[in-house]
Amino acid sequence: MSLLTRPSPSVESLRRNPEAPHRHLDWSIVALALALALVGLATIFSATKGQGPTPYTGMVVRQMVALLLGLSLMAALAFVDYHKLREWAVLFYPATLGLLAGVLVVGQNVKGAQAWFAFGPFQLQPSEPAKLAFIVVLAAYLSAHRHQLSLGRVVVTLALAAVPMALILAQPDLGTMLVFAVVSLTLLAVAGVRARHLAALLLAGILGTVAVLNSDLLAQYQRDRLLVFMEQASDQETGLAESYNVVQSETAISLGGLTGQGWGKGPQTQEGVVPEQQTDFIFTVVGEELGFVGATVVLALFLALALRVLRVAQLAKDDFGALLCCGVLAMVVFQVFENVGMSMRIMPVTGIPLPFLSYGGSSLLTTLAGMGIVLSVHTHRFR
Amino acid sequence: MSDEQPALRVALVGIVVVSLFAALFARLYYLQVLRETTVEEVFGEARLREVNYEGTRGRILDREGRVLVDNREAVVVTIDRRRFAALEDPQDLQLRLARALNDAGYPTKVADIVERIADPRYDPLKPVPIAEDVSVALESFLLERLYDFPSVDVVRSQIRTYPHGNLAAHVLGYTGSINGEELKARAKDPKIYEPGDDIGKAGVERIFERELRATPGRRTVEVDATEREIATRADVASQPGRDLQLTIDVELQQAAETLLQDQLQQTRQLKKRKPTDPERRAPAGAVVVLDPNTSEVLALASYPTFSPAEFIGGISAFRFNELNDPSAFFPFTNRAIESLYSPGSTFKAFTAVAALERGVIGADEVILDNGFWTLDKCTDTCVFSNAGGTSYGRIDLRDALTVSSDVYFYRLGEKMWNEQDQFGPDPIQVTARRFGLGTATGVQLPGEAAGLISDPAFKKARHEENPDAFPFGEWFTGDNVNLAIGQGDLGVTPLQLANAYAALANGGRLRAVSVAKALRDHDSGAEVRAYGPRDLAPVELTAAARLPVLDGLAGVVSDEDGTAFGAFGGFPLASFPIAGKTGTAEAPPRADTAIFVGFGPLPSPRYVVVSVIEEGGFAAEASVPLVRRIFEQLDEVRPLVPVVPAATPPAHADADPADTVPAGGAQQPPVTTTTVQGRRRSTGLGPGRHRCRC
Repeated sequence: MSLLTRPSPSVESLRRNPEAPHRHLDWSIVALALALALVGLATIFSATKGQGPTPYTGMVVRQMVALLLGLSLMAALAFVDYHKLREWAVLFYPATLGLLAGVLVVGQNVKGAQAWFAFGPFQLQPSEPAKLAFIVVLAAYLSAHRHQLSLGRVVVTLALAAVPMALILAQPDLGTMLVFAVVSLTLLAVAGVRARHLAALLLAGILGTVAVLNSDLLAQYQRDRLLVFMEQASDQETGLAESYNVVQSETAISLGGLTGQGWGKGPQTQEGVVPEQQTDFIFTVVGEELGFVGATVVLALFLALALRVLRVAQLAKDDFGALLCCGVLAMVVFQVFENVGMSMRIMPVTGIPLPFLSYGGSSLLTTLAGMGIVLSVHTHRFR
Repeated sequence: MSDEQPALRVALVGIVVVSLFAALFARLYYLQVLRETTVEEVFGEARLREVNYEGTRGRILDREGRVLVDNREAVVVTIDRRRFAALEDPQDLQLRLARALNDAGYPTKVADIVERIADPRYDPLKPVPIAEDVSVALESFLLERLYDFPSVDVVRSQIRTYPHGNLAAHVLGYTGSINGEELKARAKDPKIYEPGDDIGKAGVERIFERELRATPGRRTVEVDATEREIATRADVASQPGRDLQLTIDVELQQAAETLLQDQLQQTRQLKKRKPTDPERRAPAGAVVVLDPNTSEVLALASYPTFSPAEFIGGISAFRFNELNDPSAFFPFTNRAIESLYSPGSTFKAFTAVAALERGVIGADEVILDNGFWTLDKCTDTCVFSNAGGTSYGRIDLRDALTVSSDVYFYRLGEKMWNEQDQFGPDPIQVTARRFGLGTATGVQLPGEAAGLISDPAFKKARHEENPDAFPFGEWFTGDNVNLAIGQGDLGVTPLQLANAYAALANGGRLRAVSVAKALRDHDSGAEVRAYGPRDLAPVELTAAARLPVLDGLAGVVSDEDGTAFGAFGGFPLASFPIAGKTGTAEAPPRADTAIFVGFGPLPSPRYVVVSVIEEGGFAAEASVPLVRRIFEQLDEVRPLVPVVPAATPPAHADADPADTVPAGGAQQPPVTTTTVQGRRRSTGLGPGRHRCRC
């Protein structure tokens, strides 16, 4: 068969549908997601192994289980027509809202946030899947009313966003709430909201932020974090306990230098100087142990993934697909920017996981599911 | 921005995304490349600290390699100062720890704990020991409750152990925690010392500290600004110290100590000869067994003694004072080398040598001892007498030594002083010094006294220094007469006396006394250094001067008129001939000091045994029996000693008890004339009262 030149299309091959979804899996997204998840496992191991003679592996093993589940979920979603999501969202979105309300009542309070359901050894953070449900609902609504985005519809959009945002703020989880805000703004912008409406929204956002800062809505620690961030901008060291985390995190990253202290050998990491170094501050481990070279590679992987998702948005068959991709893109990119930015003290501290890398099953599953949706848009772009 | 151009809007999103990442890259580049921080900057000069830890101290062995001092693991309760400083309620911990220690039977005050923790001499990187050598029960109690006692830990460390108990305590000495002065003195020692380290405080533990001490192990650790250990960079294992092999023989030492104690006990029960005699309290004494050919100490006993094990983990000031208490007779003092005794008649042997060498008298020259000696040209005290005024009749030099005639030696003393032009101003002192009297023997033990042999110059100097206490600066004839019989300003240690007799016994070879035989490798046991005999200036003893003296000394034991004859009744002298000299030194107002030097077997002695019993009364009653029993313990003598005791009283039942109190009392076998050596007694010597200043 190999001796044949240019096999002519046989009846067999003609019968095969060249537009079949399985022929259009975007392997680059799969590879990038997998690479980032594997870097995450290695980093979590280094951050949690401890200094004893036998390393602690409990967290890595749990994360591996979450990764396998997440990859299965991603694969399944990739071959499900993303239009089905529109039908599911009708149920899924109210369900996540119910969970967000429920977690406030029966949830587990971890480090000051009422954000987790506990099922024996497993915890579920409902705000994570809520992000995806919100993206699907918003994409469906905005694509249905494309080119007719009146002020009324903008208000409806904002209302759809306001309910989960209020519930999440009540946990309180400022960071995740901001993800919802950013996703909303991005989708509105891409869907073609009028420029003056967008400008008004941004202005409202800024005024709202100032109002919230001056109100009692934020907890003291949240305000302190913002103050720390702003004082950093004016080059003042503060004695606030809230600044400890970022100072140590920034120091750890500086210690990395060009090539890093070596995997498993970062002094700050191994001494456990930076709190939450396997979750929210995992980028400090990357920075300290893998150095500028390693951290650049990780950020480059994120950038490549983001650009690829953007490309899928452009290739999408319809507006719904494009908006889904943009929603996922906004979610991931904002989390990366906020998380990495806070580790390097160019963003205020909020509790947001770094997609793919941070320890936490809910986050990893949600991110991989988001990638599954993007893959679905790609695989179904011809039918 | 147009509604009809969604692609443009998506592209704008792309621009925003790239911008955000650009910001991240820029910040990353700034932090990691432009403003790279070093570990040193963050942790404050990553300092390297060296943490030394002690290794295994060398053991101490006897001459046959039997272990006298070993090491064992002990349980030590410690507090980690860094963790202690971080405690919320340190007082509470101290209180509870003190209570736990007290409950377990280790009296500890909270103040003790506070003091230890605050003691700046302890290495900040090492836990501070709070209680040493606690029970295993307390160890498991604390280990199970470490969470209740934060910063407390229980560790194992090595301490000294003494398989033979208190045996040879004065020779071995003891170890203890190094003090400030010792630390300062050893600041440049290659085997680095740190507070809390053990150091030899007395005995050979102190003298051979450098050899016994292990080379400490050294861990090089990296610490941050708060002295917190970050990492171990290097670990050099400790090297055990050398094993020290002594010249001491465990069995002989054991015998010497036990017999000394028994003899003291028996001496206390002896009756007074006269009601006016002072009480024989016999509170203390010393025994030395020396090999005269090498000057190696085979046994060295001093009573009262102490327990070296008491010093493990520190001794209380109260107990330490008890050990130095005069009313307890200074248990710490090693009487064999630290205490000076008047040698009494044991000194006559050296007077005899001095006289024979200079031709003051011929060995066979006979003089008449009628019990008194009146000085020529005399104004004040002119009559000197034998003890009790006993007359020994016509005697030569051998007889004079055998019966311990004072008159004979008075005469020599006077003659030498009167004929200074011929014999020099101090012939006796010169001779005595040649035998090493008045000089430390050089034994490897701390605190050895030099002794005193007074002479005209000394007397003059002492008078000028303190005319009130010593009104006379002039050396009188009487001084020389007293000196000749071993009285007056003479002070020798038992070991010195033993070594002087060793030189006499071996033909004039004076050696430094040694308690150390060799250093051995701790692991292989191989000899790394031998401490051979160290010759001092030879005595240069002529046979003409030596042999008559030895003859006379042999008579002391074997001649029926000898001062030690009775006490040696039944001893197998035929197979193991012994010579010796008794000495009863005045120590008013207390009872006399009983001294005996014995050596044998003749003619080439292998043992010199000296016994000194304070407030023991007559030598023949207190010290001679002790020396006899020690000789009986020797391997070559033991088979010769009759096992079956006989009830027959000793032959010279009518003799003075001073000379005839047998070692075993009525249990001695009958003394037969065969045990008496065939030396002919000079005529004219009646069997009467042999009261001598022996």
